[in-house]
Amino acid sequence: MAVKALQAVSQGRNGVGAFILQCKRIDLHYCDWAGSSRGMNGFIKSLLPKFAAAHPQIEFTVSPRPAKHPVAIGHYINGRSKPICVRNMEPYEILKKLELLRDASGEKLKKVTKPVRSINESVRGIWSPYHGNGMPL
Amino acid sequence: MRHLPRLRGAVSASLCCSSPTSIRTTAVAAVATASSSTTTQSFQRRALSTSVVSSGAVEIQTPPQGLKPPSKEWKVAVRPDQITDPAYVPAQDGLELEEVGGLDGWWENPANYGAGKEWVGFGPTEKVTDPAVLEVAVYRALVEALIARREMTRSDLTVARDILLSSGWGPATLTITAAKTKLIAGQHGNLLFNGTQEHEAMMAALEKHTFPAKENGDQDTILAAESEENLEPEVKEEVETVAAAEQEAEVTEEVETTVAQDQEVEVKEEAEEAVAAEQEAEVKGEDYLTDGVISAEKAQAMLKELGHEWKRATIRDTIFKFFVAKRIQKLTGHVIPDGKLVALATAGSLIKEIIKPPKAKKLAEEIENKEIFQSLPNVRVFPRRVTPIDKEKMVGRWKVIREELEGRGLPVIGTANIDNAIEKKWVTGAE
Repeated sequence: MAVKALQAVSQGRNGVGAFILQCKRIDLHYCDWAGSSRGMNGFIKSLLPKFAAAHPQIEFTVSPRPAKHPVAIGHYINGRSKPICVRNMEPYEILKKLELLRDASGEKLKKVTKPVRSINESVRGIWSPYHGNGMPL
Repeated sequence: MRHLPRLRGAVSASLCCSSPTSIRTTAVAAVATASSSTTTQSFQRRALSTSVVSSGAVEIQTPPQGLKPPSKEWKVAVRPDQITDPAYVPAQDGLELEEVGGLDGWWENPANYGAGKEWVGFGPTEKVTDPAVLEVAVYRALVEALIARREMTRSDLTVARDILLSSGWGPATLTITAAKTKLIAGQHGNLLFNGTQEHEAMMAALEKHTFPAKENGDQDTILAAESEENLEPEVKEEVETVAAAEQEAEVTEEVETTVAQDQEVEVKEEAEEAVAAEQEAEVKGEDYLTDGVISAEKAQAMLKELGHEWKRATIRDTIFKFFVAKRIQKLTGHVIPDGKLVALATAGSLIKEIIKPPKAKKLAEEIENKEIFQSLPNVRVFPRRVTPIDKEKMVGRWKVIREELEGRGLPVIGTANIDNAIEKKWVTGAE
């Protein structure tokens, strides 16, 4: 009986060859009248031009939503979206939220129990120089 | 409740000074004993009254000069039982008393109406918006303010006042003459007339058009005329005599001024030149001499002749800037706030301040005006709310949805007055 190799489909490992940003679009909604949008309006005028220029791979859409609190919605390549209400926030606080949306993967939030996550986990665990007898040279 | 300590005996002066909380109590106690030193007594008086403590000698207070004390003659009303008038009936309560004064018949009184009673604002109600006209207005305001500042150095301030408070554009001759008056930046960059005689023509034009108009159609004159109508005959006679005396005085003044004008031959020549220039302008065409705000085309033609040097001249004198701001307000209706006026240092900055377009009411308009995202292809800005239909149109699905809805006889937009609670009818069986 001839030995047959196990067939496996290659899995995407983002960042090993090229890194593709998971966030593809960010929608920014504001209101012209409401006071809770003051920070958002200031952010769009002052900070968004620089942020958008630094991230050409993300599409930004700016549109009013009258009589509603301001929202930033991130859309991801896995089809999911992540909305964040930014009411009464200052422009630099909103910038932090947009960085969060940019860095997010779009996956549902999960509880992380293990320190290392890998699709190729080691059976022997992580090597440590402080454990075992060591190897005299 | 706050408890005050009771004092059993006289209190020393040192305690009075050291404890301000017990001043009142100690003072009263000290007055009762009347056995303290002179300093203590003076302090006691001060604690009990608000009058200034005197040094001991009684001062006779004389009324200050210019104040007329009330007369000591008292009018006493006649007692009701001594009134001889048979028609007199004493009032039993306040409602029966005769009303003196009040607002009865105020609305029907014609003296409360008229042109003099209407509120007139300082500047025009409608603002001038054309940039070229505004620039010409600033130039004219600078010329007039410079002349007003020269006049402020003299003892008679009426001329400066009339220049600053004269109404808007007036005859077009004034604007034309102002545009011909050349302004330059001086040695230190400050705004000046080109020569010492440069302002004479403008002064002559102002004397001809501004001051007589002020005398003839002045607001004060209208008010005075209206108030004269309401006066009693005796008072009216007095007013007329005073007015006649004033007219005589004016005539003598005019005679004096004409004598002075005769002496100033140069000034007269300049005035004649101004009149000649005005006649030339009349010959050119009536359109050019239309009163009021000049047209944008004429303003642009004037600006070409004026150049740009005068815009770089500095204006740092606060009073002069105030003059300019008031003239600009009279001419254009633009009010420059004091806070901004302090920071404006050149003639060009004045123009920028009033030419500035009004603030955008919407963020999308502001983004479009400032072209913030023009160089960024990854940013799209929508001027209105992006609706679900807009989203379908973006991906090209709306046409299909519309056809499907129409094919099934369903409303494309809205609910077509279909009641939401139709299930409720099914459950209850109600019609």
